[in-house]
Amino acid sequence: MTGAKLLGWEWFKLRRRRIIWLLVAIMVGFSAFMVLLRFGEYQFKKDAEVKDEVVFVAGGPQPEDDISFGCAAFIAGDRPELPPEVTLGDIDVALTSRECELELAETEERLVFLTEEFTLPGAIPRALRWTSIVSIPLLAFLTVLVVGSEYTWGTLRTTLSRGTGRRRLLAVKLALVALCAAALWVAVTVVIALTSLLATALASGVGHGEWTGAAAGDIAGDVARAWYSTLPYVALAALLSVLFSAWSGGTLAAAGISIGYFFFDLFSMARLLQLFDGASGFGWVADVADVDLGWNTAAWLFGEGGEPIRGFNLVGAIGQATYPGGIWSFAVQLAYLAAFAGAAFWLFQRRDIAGPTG
Amino acid sequence: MAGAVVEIEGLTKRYGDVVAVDDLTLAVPAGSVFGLLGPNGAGKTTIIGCALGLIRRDAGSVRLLGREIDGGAEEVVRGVGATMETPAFYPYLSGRDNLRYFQGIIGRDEPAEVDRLLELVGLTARAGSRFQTYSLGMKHRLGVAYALLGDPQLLLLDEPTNGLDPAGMAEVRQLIRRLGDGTRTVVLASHLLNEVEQVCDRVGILSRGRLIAHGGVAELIGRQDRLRLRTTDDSRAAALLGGLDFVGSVVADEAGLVVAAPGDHAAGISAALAAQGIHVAELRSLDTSLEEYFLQVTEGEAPPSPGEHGAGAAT
Repeated sequence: MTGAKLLGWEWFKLRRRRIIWLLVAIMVGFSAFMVLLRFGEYQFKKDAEVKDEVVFVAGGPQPEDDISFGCAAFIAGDRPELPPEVTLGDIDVALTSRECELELAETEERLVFLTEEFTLPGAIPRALRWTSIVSIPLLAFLTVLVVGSEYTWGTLRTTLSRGTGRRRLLAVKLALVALCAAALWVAVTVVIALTSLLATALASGVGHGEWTGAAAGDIAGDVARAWYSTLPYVALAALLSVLFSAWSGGTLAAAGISIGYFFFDLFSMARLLQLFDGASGFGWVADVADVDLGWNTAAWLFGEGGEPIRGFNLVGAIGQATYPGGIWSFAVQLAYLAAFAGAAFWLFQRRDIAGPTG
Repeated sequence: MAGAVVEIEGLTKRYGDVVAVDDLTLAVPAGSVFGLLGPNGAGKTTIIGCALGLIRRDAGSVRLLGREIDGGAEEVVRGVGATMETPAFYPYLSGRDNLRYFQGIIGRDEPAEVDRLLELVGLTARAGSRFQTYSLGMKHRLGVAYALLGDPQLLLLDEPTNGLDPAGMAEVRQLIRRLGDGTRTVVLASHLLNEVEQVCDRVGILSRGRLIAHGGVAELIGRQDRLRLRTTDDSRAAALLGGLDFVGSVVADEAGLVVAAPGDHAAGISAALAAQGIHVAELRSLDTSLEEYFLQVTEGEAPPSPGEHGAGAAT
């Protein structure tokens, strides 16, 4: 029995689990949602530009007497209809025009940014990064399902009773998760591209960016980057599944800790850096961050030319701290991958295999 | 040992301070149905787990089908069919798909064999149903089919009738008996004495991880000659018989006396009592079941003789 054949039989088993397809649906659904979210924001901003910019009218009797009027129209010379108690003279036209110009410039900049977020090719790397926030924990959960469920059901004993070999079985299971992850990232990329095409078609007057060979190469790199960032967490989930194998509920614990660790580590390190930024005697926090998995994962995904994680305010929260370089982040993730996987194999090889624990 | 398909020597397994298997030496000859008999916790599952490489040994060696399991357990174990306690399969897969998967991982892909085994264990009609919908009896039967994948020459079956109803038990026992009729060797671990007595040719009795008796089933039962005796004066009779060379023990119970002595000494006992004026009201051989024998050896009532029994080598 070759490893490839065993892999095929593991896939025979895995593809019949409904929850796997649910995870796939969540991943691709989230990636499409991220594109559509940007598209929706773009549409909202664009509409707001022409009708809802607020022109503050000095001297109004009540704050609610502020007048809403489109900045573009104001600059073009149109003037709002004012209530009787407010005169046009109350408006500093020059000041308001300058504010409107700034507002319009800012809106335009935001529209350009949003356009890049939902049109090709820019939509792909951006949505991939965002999808990582959801996909890494989902793939860790998948690993727990692939490894931990065998303990819960007692099927690991049934499998190993036929001479499958422990090391080979775990290696094949991890390889299967890694391959599934790669396939999923490719599927996510395709879904992002299709969603982007749809959104671009719906947005009037918007075209795709320049599509070059370099852009295609960048996308392949982005997919590989997203895939690589999942691997240490897959190894961690495998280790925890084996570690908690003797407990009833061990699979649940492994899943919870894997996912909890990802989010806690990712966001707590940013907060710690912010908290101790420049504080004397706390320089070690930055040193810890340099070798922290979550921080290096964030650096790997978002650090090199990536957009800040606006929604979570991750980058905004860290003050002067900067992400580690790409090679450093790659190496740190590799070290965690090797450590987690090595420990998982060591434990898997040594532990007695008991019956069902679920 | 020549002709032995399972050779265990000095096997010891500890879980913390608890010794689950204690310096066990055992050999199972080829072509037999061998019963590994013991109460729950006696170490049966641990022994099978150690033999399959699922449980790490603290000491000792295991040879299956003439090969050491160390350093190549996978190769050796691939030729062995085994079930351990309640069969565990993938709940979301059908019985057929479960067998196809396990057939696949031993390097075979023969749907015909899967169908044949499903038919053998009477699961053809439910082959397409998910394992989680199976009754306990069906799970056990699927377990037997799983163990037979690849036509192994050695079967290790751990409590294969656990939890089955009487009809299911009878069915599985008949199947095991049939499986052991040819050249195949079956090791049946069970805590059910009548099951071992019905199915097995030879038996090893375990208690607290030690092998305390072994041999052919008929031989073990036959070795326990006991006589039921009622007299006109049981207390005097007990005192008198206790002094005779061929009497092992005399135990009084509510029905009279139980005398441990070979059946062919019944006449001698009768004569000795008559000589003392004690009249015999009843004197007959007591049939000993494996259950009675088991209770004796595990409770220390009739400890096995050192040469034949004990933790030494067994075949």
